[in-house]
Order: sequence, then C-alpha cells, then structure tokens
Amino acid sequence: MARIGVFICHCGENIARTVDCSSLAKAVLGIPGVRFAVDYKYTCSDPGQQMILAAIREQRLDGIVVAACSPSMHEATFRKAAMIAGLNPYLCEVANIREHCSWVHDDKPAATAKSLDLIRIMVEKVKRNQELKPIKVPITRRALVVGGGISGIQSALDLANAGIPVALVEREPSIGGHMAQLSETFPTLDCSQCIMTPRMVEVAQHPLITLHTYSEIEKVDGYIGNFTVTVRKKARSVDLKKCTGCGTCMQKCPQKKLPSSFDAGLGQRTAIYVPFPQAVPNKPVIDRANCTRFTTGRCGVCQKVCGPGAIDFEQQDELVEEKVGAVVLATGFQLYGIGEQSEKMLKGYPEYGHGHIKDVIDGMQFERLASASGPTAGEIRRPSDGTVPKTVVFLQCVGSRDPAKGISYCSKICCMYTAKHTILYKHKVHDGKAVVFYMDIRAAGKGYDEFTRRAIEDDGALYLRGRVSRLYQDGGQVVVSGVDTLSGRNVELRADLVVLATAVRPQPDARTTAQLFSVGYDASGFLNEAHPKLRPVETAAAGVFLAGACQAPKDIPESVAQASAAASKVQILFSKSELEREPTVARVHRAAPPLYSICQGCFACAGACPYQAIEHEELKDRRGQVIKTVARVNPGLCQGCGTCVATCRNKAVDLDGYTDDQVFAEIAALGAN
Amino acid sequence: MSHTPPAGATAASPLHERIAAASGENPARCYQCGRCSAGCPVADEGDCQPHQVLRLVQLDDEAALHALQPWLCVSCNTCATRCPQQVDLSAIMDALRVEAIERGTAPAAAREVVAFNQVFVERVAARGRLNEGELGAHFNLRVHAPFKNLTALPGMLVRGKMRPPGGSIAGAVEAMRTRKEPQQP
Amino acid sequence: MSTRLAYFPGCSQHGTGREFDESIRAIAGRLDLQLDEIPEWACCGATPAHAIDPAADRALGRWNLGQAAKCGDVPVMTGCASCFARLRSARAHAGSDQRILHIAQVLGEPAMRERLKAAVVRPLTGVKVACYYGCLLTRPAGPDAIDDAENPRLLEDLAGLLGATAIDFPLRLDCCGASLALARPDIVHRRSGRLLAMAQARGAQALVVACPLCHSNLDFQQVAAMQAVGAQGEIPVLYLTQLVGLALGLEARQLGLQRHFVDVPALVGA
Repeated sequence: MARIGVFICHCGENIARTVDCSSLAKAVLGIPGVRFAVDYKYTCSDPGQQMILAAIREQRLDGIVVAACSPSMHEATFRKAAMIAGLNPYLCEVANIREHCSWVHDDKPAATAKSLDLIRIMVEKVKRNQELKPIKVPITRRALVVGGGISGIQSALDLANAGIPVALVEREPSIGGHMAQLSETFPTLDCSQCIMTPRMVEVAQHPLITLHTYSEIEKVDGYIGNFTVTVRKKARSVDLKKCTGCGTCMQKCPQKKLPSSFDAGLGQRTAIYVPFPQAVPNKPVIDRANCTRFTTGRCGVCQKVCGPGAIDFEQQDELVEEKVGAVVLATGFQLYGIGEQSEKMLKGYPEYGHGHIKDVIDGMQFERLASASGPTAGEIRRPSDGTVPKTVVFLQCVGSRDPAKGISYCSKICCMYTAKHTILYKHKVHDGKAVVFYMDIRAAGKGYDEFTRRAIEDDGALYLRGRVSRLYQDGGQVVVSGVDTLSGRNVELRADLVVLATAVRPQPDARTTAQLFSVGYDASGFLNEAHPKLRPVETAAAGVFLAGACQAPKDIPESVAQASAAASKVQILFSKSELEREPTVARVHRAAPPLYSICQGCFACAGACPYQAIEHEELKDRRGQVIKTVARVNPGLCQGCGTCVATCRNKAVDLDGYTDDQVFAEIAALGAN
Repeated sequence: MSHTPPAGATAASPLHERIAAASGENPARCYQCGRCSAGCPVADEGDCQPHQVLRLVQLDDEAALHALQPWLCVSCNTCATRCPQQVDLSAIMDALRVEAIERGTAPAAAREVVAFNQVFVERVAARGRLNEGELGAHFNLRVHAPFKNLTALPGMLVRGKMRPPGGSIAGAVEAMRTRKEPQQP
Repeated sequence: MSTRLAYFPGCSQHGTGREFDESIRAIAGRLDLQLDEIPEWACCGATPAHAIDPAADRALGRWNLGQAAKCGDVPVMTGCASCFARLRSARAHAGSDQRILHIAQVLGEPAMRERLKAAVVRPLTGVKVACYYGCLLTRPAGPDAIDDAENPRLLEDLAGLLGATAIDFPLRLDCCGASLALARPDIVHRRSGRLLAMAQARGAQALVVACPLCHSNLDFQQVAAMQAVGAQGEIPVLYLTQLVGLALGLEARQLGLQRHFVDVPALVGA
C-alpha cells in the first residue's frame, strides 16, 4: 500500500485567496494511499522544505505531491528536497493549483473542489511513478558564439579568457556589428570606435578564438554538451592567408558607386571592399552580386594589381564542422526600414515620405553623419545637398508602440539615442535648432534621465510632446505637421533634416536561426528566453543561450551584461565533466527472446521525432544472427516530447515518467470523482 | 479594433461606456499621443483638440458633450487612418454628436453646424433626395439669416447648378419615416 | 464589349455638381460603359446623417443597396466621394458582397486603362495637373477604397495615361473643409485656400478632383479661399472625368466646363 504525503501551499494569498487550503488538507486524507497531508503558507521557503523533509522521514513516505504553483516554477525545488530526505526525486510530483486553479477562478468552493481533483490526479500518478536516474552525457568543452557584434564579442572574450576555446561566427565580412557604426554612446558620450575596436582586435588576436567571418550557420546537429554545427564560409574571393590588406585592389576597382551598408547607404564603396577601415579582419571581400567580373565576365583589375595573388575568382563556399558543447546566440537586430517595406507584415510610413524625401533619414544614418569615420567625416550635412541643417526635427516612436503599423512594443533605446543625437548635433552646429517629438521619455537607467535633462536644459533641445501626422518636401525643406499636446496646439515646422527614431526589429532571418537551434521566438521574431525573470539567458533548447538584442531591444550596457551572463552560464555548464539530463525520455520496448521487442521496425517514430533521436538497432540472437531491426531512442537526443509514443501503432514505445499507464491513471482518477 | 462594447450601456452609465457602446470603439485604447490632432484639419479651430475630446471621454467628463470640437469634425477620417492604436475617432465624434443632440448639450457656438446637419437630414427625410437650394433656404430660416449666401444664387442659377426640387422618392421617404435606432452590435 | 454598371449619381450631380454627371455620361459613351441609373436611388445621407442620426444613415444605405440590386448582378458605380464612402459603409453594415466602385476605380481597371489609352485623341501633353484626392476616396482605409490611404497613385496614373503630368502635390490627401461650407465657410476658405495656393505655387495648370463637394469648395468658393490665405490669381478645377473627356476629344460644353466659376482655359490646342 502506498504511503503518499500531500503538501498544500497557500502561496501567500495567491492560492489561499480562492482555495480553502486547510479543509483541502483534510479532504485529501480521504484519497486512497494518502497517509499525510498538511497546508502551509510558503512551502517553497526553508521552513516549508524542512516540513517536507521531516514528513518524508517520519511518515516513511514513498511518494509526495506538492500542490502549489506551476511545476515549471518549483518542481526542481521540491524534488531536491525529496532527494535530501532520501526519496528518489522522481517520486515527487507537483499539482498545479495556482495557474491551473486559483488564478483563473473566483468561486472558492468550486476552486477548492477542483484543487482536490488536481491533487487526486497527481496522487494516482505518483503511485505509479518509477525511480529514475538522471542521464549522464559527456561534454565537449568548446563553445560556439553566433554573431560578432558587441554581445557576441563580449561572450567570446569572456569564454576565451576563462580558458574555453570559442568559435565565433559572423555573417558580415567584419565583426563589429551595429556598435561599430555608432558615433558616440549614451549616456557618457564615449566614442564608440574607441571602446569597440580594441575589443575587435582582441578577438582577432586571442589564441582560443577561431573567427569565421562572412560565414553562416548551415546546420545544427546534436544536443547540449555535444553539438555538431556546420558553418558555411561564404566564398570571399580573397585568400585571407595570402592577402596582406594593402588595399590596392580597392583603390583600383572601377566599380566605385555601390551604397555602403556600413554607412547606412549614405556613403559609397567599391565592389571589392572592407566594410570600414577598422574592420576585423582588415581584408577585403568581393561583392559578387555587383562585381563586374561576376556580372559580365569582363574586368579582373583587382587580380592584376594584387601583388601576393590573393584574389581568387574561383573560390567556392566552404563547409566547416564545429564540435561544441554550448552555443551563445548573439545575432542582434535590424532597424525598421523606412524606405521600401522591409518586412511584409509592416505597413511602412508613406506619410513620412516613404524613403523618398532625401532629408528624412533614420537614426543609424544620423550616427554615420555624426561619426568621425563617416561619409561626412563627422560634419552634420544633409544627404540632399550637403549643406549644414539649421533645424533638425527628430521623431521618436517611428514603428515602435504603433500597433497599426504592426509593432506594439517599445524599442527601448530610441529615447536615449535621440537625446544623444540632439546633444551631438548641438555640439557640432552651435546655432542649430533641435526639436524632438516624443510620446513619453523612457530614460530608466543609470544616468539616463540626467542625460535627457541635459539635452533639454543644457543643450537646448526643444522637446514637444506629441506625434507627427505627416512630412512632405516643400522647396528645400521638409514640412513637419505635428502637435504639442501639452499646449494643445498644432505645430507646423519647416525642417532642414528630419531624423526618424525607427523601431528595433529582429533580424530578417531570426525565425530561421531560432528553428536551426530549436529556440522559441515571440510574435515579432525576437528569440525567447526560458523564463522571463529567472532564466533570462537560457532558452528552451538546453545548452543554447542568448545575448543581446536578438532577444529583445537592448542598449549596449544591457547587451554586454547579458553577454557576460551567457558566457558564465556556459562556464557553469562546462564546470562538470559530465552532464546530467532529465531522465524523462522515451524508451522502446525490449523483452527476452523469443519476443525481443514488440517494435515492428516500421520507423514511423523516426519520421515523427523532431530531434532525430530515433536510431536503428539490430537485435541479434545468441549466434549473432540479426533477428530484426528495431527502433532505439538515443537518450542524449530525446527531449521527452512523446511524439513517438503517439505515433507508434504497436505501443512499443513509452515515455519514462509519463508512461501510458500513469497518464491513463490520471484520467481515470478524474473520472472516478 | 476588436472590442466588445459594454453590453447594456444605459443613459446612467459613465460616459466612456456610453460612447463605447454607441461607437463600437474602446476609448481606453487611446494613449494620448496626439497623432489625431496633428493631422486634423480643424484641430485648432475649436475649443479643444481632438485628442483632448477623447481624453474627456476617458475621464467620464460630460464636458465632452458640450464641446465645440466634435461639431467642427468634418469626418475626413485622417485621425482614424493614422491612429497608432487603431481607434476610430471619427466614430467616437459621431457618438458624441448623437448624444449631444439627444441631451441638448451642443454648445451655442455650434448652432449653425447643428442646424446644417439637422436641416440636411430633415430635407432628405422629406424627399428622399437632397435639393441643395432647398437645403440652403431652410438652413437660412433655421439660423434666422434669410439672406445668407444669397449673393451666390445668381451665379448658381446662370450655370444651371440650382434647379427646383423634383418629386420625392416615396420608398426612401417611407424608409426614413420608419427608421429605427440601429441595434447595438 | 460594353461594361455594364449600376450608376448611382447622387444628389449633387443633379445640382451643383451637374457637370460631373454630364462628363461621366459623356465619357461613358466613348469608353463603352453602359450606365444603368439605379431606379429611385435616394440620398446617401452624406456626412450629416451618420453625424447626428445613425438610424437615418443605415435606413438610406439599406434602401440604396436594395435599389441597386434591381439593376442585376453588376457593380455599383458612383462619381461622388461621399456617396462612395456611404455606400461602402452600407455594404459593410449589410454584410453584402455588392461591389461598390468609384468612377476612378472603373477607369483604373487594367482593361479599362487599355481602352482609355486607345481612345485618347487629344493627348494632354505638357499639361501640369495637381491631383487631389481629398478624404473619402481613400479613407476609411481598406481594400475597397480606391487606393492606398497614404500613398495613392490612381489619379496620377490616370492623368499620365491622358498624357498630362501630375505634379508633386503633398496636400492631395488634406481635407478641403467639406460640409462646413454652409455653416462655417471661414474654415472652408482657409482649408481650401492652402490647397489652391500650393497647387498654384507648384506650377499646376489645373486641379483635378473626383468629388462634387471638393469641387464646390475649390471652384465656387475659390475667390474667398484665395483671399483667406493671401494668395493671388486663379486656378481651374476639373473633375477627373472632364480631364478624361478633354483627352478623348469631347467638347467643353459636352463636359459642362461652362458651368465652372473659374474659367477653364483651353489646356490643349483643341
């Protein structure tokens, strides 16, 4: 006869408000097999856990049910307590009477009755639970970082400095990301290049970092501790070993008028190019889509002028395999495109000129105008005619907080970078006028509010609270029709330059990245953390961590902090020689001869398994003759989703911890009432 | 925007509920960014701006029913087209006008606009179609300015743009006579 | 092959917007459009009905859709922007799938563009026009409006088909003051004055409209409107269908050009 203990948590008032916990504890004693029941205010606290420990020992319990919050919250907590008391942790189950009951009901008697049902279900399950042992898997002590912006660089350096070899994969020809494009950074006005480029060099020089630039992730196999990642090194058309980075090829390239994406379209580059002078590696790449050699077959000047003979028009993409134990995704963000619609779901802003008015630019373009390394060498000059604008109007929340345009979230960084822009502008154009249209100033951060006040009080930016209805070109200026809601008056301004603080968007292929690594993503396409509060760096995929703006809009300090957090999570993972994994994995039936297994070897499960965890196994008789080939589950790969169980026609596969027997007993327990 | 208007808003319900029920819009969605006012052709012509009218509704302030601004609204729909929160302010303005008429709260400054709207609907109810000359004449009588706009008449006549009213559309007149308040969705 | 349409003229087309109706009928003849006037159509209710008496708005909408059905299974076509908007609203309330088209949409359909191009006998080469949409052709926004609410191209495209050049006219979506004409002419003058002054300043030889109320505010009220914004001179205001008619070689009288308050000079050598 089972000896089950039930612990009912009040969760402060979260549960007790709608569930009568003390009468529930009495009622629970009526469930067959329950020997002990008690209710307590905070079961997860130390006294609460001590209570569990004592009851297990004193009552000689062989299974426990904690009726509390979601198991995703505290199952691990209670299982650990059970283990300390000498009970196999898998003999502890959680009945969720908070999310599944008290939070969603308000009728106390009904909610109490439902809680009793939920507990009865778990009691029936626990009676059938088996002792399970964690699965141990070896760890490859090497990490992959995807994305070479500030987040990826930070993670890679932290890991490498901790002695962990790192492969850093960057899609662009150089690492550096968006931060390398910035002029100064808020709230200190540090020069972005001055703090960024040394870190880029450190990456290049670090003996433990293998850098793959101009490369993308092709394929991901394996699981936590043992990933095999295939990296496609795109054909650069330049042999990095031979190239000295002298730059002659770029000087001689006749194709000189291509828009530079590093300069946000405001500058021009050649077809063979390095994105910017401080690039790492500082060696060029041929943009094959625009190179005359590749489009027409004529030309080849770069090859002729290259002394070391580094130009290789025949170069092919190369596939490289990286074996790693953990992955940090730091794939970053893109800015909402103000010109042609960059994403189908978004409607764009034709009322703001739709990218047709030359002197309506976005925030990154303003960064390039303000940057000493930019196309105007740091002078603020209009794209249309190169004159210095005397009135600059900044519009915040272009795309952000605008459900009508398809984006409801706040992009978080725009309030701050707009304040920075006004300050930079006023520092460069003393008689200029900076006007900002804003809805709210969101400046929560160390020194942030002070920074926006500085823009207003010391540098004289005029902040108008309200939005702009539309922009249009009139003569050499842009007419801005807006409102100042604080005075209740419409404002029509003639601006020389308009800067749109456009929304932070996920990378266009963020969903593909998420799918490659089996990581979740939100409705916008930002990658999902495992828990918004307590596991902000982890993902649903074990061994895959997040850093930076790929998870949500973030500024540099936050990105760096998360990148270091991700690196330390990897180090925690690598601090053991072997990994322990949840043993709730599928198992294919095996029996003694002559049956061997009821598996027929149809491998429908293999097709259904999302994790490629089904393997073929040849069952042999004593003489070594193959009797039949059946399915076997690789416990290292299996994530315990149960899809194979549902697919198997022979019921030859079952899920440890969630066997058919257990699940049917749960259902029957509900029906029995 | 999908929003279930509070069922059974009555004359005693707070203003935001009455307006929500009549317009099908949720006034709470408005976050007061002012984009409606920024694009409104008459934002600065009235006693308060369009976003402020909506603010009064959010505050359950009956002053919204006494405001001039809704009467200047020309239903151009620019506000609704550009509202980031997809609030159809034009529909809310309709609801405010309807209730202001019912409660007799339209301000004196709106007298002529109110008269124009009422005379228009009355004329259509009488004939099924509108004759602009007749509309002008009745409007003048209603606002006690019999000679208003009269100088325009000869020009209109010469160009054949003013003609005596034709007959009535009997079916449409009947449809107008038996019209009922539209049922709440 | 002729295209049959259930024609909803609207009240203004029998009065101040008479030449709109005349020009629609005139070009329909040239373009093989068969217009079956909806029997006993009623006023659409315009702005006043929905503004103060939604029951009246719905009653008129139901009546008109019912009458339109008597023309058979053909699209309803109107020239008036307000009638167009009210018929769209009525259709939405009725949950009907009746197609409601504005004359500009009819002219803009691919086959019709071809027909139109072929029928041009007097191309408006070199004529600069400012295309004015006003409010209710593109708003409320939706797939059944004539074009995108913020970036419409239809009127400019049609003007281009006729050989004319559409100037950049940023105020093309701004309201003219609409139905405040009788009650608050001061506002109408200010709003319309801005539009006229900009069209003129940007070198347009004519404004092209597709709404009788816009036309009245911009043509009939033009002197006062120009005065209100301190602008000089005058600029003719043509209905889209009049512009089309001119390119098709129709005579000024057939298009009702003599009914305008601002004279329409010969835009092309007739």
